Amino acid sequence: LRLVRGSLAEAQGRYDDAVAHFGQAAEVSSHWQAGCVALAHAMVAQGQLQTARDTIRGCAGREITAADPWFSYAMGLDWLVEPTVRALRGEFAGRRAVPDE
Amino acid sequence: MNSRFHVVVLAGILAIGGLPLRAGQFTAATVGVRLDVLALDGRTPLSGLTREDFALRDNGVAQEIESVTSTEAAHVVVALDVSGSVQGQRLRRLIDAANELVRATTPADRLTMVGFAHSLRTLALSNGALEPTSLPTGGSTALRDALFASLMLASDDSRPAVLILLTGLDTASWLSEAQVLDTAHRVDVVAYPVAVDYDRMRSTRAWSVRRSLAALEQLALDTGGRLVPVRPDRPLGPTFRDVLAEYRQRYVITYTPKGVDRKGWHDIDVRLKGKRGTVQTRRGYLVP
Repeated sequence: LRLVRGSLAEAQGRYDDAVAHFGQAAEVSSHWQAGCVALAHAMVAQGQLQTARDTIRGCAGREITAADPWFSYAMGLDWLVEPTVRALRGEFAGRRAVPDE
Repeated sequence: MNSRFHVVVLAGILAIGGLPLRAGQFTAATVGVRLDVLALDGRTPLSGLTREDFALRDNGVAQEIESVTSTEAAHVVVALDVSGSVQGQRLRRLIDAANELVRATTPADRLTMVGFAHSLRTLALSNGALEPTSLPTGGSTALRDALFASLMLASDDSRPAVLILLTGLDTASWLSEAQVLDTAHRVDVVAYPVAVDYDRMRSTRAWSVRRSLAALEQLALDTGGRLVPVRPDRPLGPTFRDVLAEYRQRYVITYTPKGVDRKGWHDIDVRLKGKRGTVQTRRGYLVP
């Protein structure tokens, strides 16, 4: 959620807000790198190049073991579409076969 | 660890002058600009050029060139895709290539190596070489995020900086192509994306692949570098070495912009005076 809020703020040119949101995201998700990258990029947009470099150096030195959970959102959860449609069809077919009383 | 065994990046534009400015940073006190250029006659680099051989325009206004020097000492940054698609023989090939590049650097250089998959990590060398055990392999590929991070790391040095990036296909980045390009306009790094199996990627109808490739080509163009295609059956080491050798043939031009607004986008145009050939340099730079 922080990542999304930060993105909205950055897109609207509210870089201070973006840095604040992304900073919280980076703090919450220290096992992943998206928050850190997003934070550093907002700092670049803010004109804080050196702070952005320091931020990147900090997270590039850490061992990251998990893929970012936001990845599923970015991909639109399209891998869920087919099984979901199949399940809905199944449910619909079942309802037709057994009408509500 | 020797200082040259850090990340290497090539800087194209640098704030210079009597003030202690950091590389790639433009501030109100910026008094100069550094441009990294490659002069070519056809595909052959031209050597022995001096400031009298170049004509430079900043936003259309002719500028006086203050100095022309070489790129003998550079910050070389190498970013390697070590995602799940790079295993076994491909990984071995990658490590060999990286070590060839390490051997091609000089003590005057600073070398920084990074490996990226779903995240990015700086890599330490052991006895002057990259070891398979130091590579965090596996996972998806956050190429654009890695590009952004590499640009930031690369621009953190007073030496001219070059980024050599072995590309894969992006599957997991937070940042967009536009955000990476915008960052490239703000820092002083020349990018050489190395694209394995370029012909196949170029001929694909997959929209995401074509878009990713177009963005890499734009990045190379905007930073004054070049997208380097490599066939999948060719060794990578000579390619890496050739890129560094090409970088060594570049010139570093410095000038203090006059007659133009400091802030905003600056279009750069560099040409040869009285000589046949072309000049390859970054498209411009952004002062926020």
